[in-house]
Amino acid sequence: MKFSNYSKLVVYLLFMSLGLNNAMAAISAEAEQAQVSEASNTAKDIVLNFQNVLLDVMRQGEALSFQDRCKQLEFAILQSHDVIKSLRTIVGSKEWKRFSDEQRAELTTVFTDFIVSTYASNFNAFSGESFVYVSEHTTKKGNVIVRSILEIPEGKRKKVTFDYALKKNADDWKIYNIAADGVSDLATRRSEYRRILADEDGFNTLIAIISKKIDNYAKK
Amino acid sequence: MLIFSKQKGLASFFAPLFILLTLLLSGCASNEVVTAEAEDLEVEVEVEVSEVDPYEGFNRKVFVFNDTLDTYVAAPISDAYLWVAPEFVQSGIANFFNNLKDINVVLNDVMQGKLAQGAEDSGRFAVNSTIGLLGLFDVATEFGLEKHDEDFAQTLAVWGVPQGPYLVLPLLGPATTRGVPGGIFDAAANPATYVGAPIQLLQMLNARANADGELNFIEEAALDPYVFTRESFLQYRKNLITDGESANTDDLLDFEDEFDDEEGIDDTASIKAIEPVDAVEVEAELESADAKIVETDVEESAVNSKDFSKASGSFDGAVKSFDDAANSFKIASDKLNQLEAQ
Repeated sequence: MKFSNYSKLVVYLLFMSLGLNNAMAAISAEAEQAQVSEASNTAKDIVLNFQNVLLDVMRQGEALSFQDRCKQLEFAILQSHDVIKSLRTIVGSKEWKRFSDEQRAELTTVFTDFIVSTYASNFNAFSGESFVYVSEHTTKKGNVIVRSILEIPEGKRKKVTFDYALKKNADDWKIYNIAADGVSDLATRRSEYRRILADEDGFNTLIAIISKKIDNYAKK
Repeated sequence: MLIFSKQKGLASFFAPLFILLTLLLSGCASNEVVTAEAEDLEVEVEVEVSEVDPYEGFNRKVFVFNDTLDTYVAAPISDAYLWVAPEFVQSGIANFFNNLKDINVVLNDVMQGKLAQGAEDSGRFAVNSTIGLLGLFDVATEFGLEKHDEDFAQTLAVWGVPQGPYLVLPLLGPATTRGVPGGIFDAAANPATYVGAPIQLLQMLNARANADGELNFIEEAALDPYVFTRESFLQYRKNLITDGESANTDDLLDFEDEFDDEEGIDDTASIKAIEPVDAVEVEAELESADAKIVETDVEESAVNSKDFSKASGSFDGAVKSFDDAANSFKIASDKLNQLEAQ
């Protein structure tokens, strides 16, 4: 193929694909608006507020110690997440009912600390990240899934899709699951925790493993 | 969780070596697992898992082998690369290999009937190969041409080929039986497969270096890295097959909600005997939900287990040799440490 023909092909493909791209974007934008008007806005607010706290903690970066970040994030997480509901779903109803009240309290505390330290350890610096809201829709059960994309602009440009699942508890919407690029936090943890709990003395093993993970984050 | 797509780059180099091994693995060892499953029927976790992962015993050994190999060989090289190479060099190399992969993306777009996306991805390849200087710069993304992730394993899924059991392959990492022919096709459709070994080594290094953050995250956050990797791999692949709709649909959430509802809302409720009928129902719902999620073909694997039961002897030998290999890495590393101390 001569060079002139080749460059024509390039230009042709470029225009063709750009045109299709724009058309697709317009269609999906319309669909998005239709969904938003039907669903409640409060679930979206919970997610956006939580994401703003995350970005704020990241922007403060080095100025905050690990413990400082934990404090700020723990408050935000307890406000926006239904930690106990997540935990009960993770360990399973049968197992949860088998626990004593002390065991439930202990596991809840350790689990909450683990979630907080995981956030505090991973959201510790800012390099221009942003969350872009995409859509919101109500499931058959009346829960809401808020989709947003984390855009990481610098260096290795990356996008991660976050789907937040929220349930209405009394008057408040609370996050009970987050899926990153389709990987559900609840489902993954569920397999891990139930595997450990199935072993003899599983409860104590679980507490020991999680405590060690928290220590490692604090030492990092 | 982008590691899995990026690690596919490794497949291009090693795939041919492991075709035979994989074909053997896909059948054997299930005999052992099936009996174990029968004994553990009362342990719900075992039953749930075995449908997706009938070869867990073997997979775990290979997982440890891969992990050891990574710790002592791949990670140090990758760390050195990340430390030495400037960021623009790293991203240039990553862009270069991503651009070569776009050829395969276009082929699979077409085979899945995604013609609009195929046109867009052809545009990407054309723009990046020319204006982007042989793919070193991803200018197409600046023009608004999004990168897509398609491969032959996804195409097979769209065509209705069942996922098959979960496998951990030596050096290649997580896969399913559907992913094996997928990986071979992808390697054949990637120009990097046909050039010299240096380029292929660079491709592997690039894949490992790009996965660094995710691998560290697993190491820090996973309580059981094997289970964590398996669950996130299977969900991530499902998300790619459905083009991001798996997390946005009701399937998984339905199953979580049903589970939730069975628990009752009252937190402080005292522990009372659970009615046996309820428990059975929950179990049945869970199993059917899991079956929906993983789309495994249980019957097929049962047939395989009979056919290949004789092979379990040689399989045990293979498992042992992976253990030995992992151990020898550790011993070698200890020796190096001793040398350093002297």
